[in-house]
Amino acid sequence: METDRLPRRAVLRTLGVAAVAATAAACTPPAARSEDKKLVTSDFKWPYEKAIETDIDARAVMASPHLSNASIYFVQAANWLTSMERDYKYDPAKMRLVMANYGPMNFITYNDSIWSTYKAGEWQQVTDPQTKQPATRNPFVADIKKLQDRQCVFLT
Amino acid sequence: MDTGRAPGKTFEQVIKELEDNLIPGAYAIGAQVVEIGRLQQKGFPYLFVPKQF
Repeated sequence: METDRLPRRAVLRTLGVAAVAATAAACTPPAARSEDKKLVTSDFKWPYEKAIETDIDARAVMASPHLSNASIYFVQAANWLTSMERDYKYDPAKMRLVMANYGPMNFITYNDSIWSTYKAGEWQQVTDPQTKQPATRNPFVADIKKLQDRQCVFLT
Repeated sequence: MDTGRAPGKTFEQVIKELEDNLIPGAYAIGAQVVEIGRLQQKGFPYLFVPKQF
């Protein structure tokens, strides 16, 4: 830029115009700067979506990747359901909590065969409360069943 | 592909084995992090449970 050849006043005038233009642009609502674009959504559906695409009032998706955290995870899910029902007066039949498990937490959704075959308890340091040994069965099935009975949907 | 703790099995065989051994009522989708985003688009707030010490 050849500013050294321009008179100082011309440079200041140019900068002033640019500043005014920038201020005006910043104050213009986004919708006025470009056309509104609608979000494009996919028509693809997973089978589980039938369980959530119903007449519901309260909804959430919960996740935690740490299998060592499973007990807290279930307590948090139960607390959410209880709070929404008891304190916020939602109809329990119209609530859906999706548990979107990932990482080691996926193990909670596999049956005893997987736990036994792959020594999941030893691998993931999960102790069976009955044997006090590394779990060779899924020790979380009863907790999950209780949550499923309260309209929780488990993904893996 | 390295199938880790399932040596000798193909990736497809491992996925099939996992799908065949779900607890009742669980759904296998295999893309849960993506699904969290889709659910957020459907109005589901994301509740992350951090690791407790």
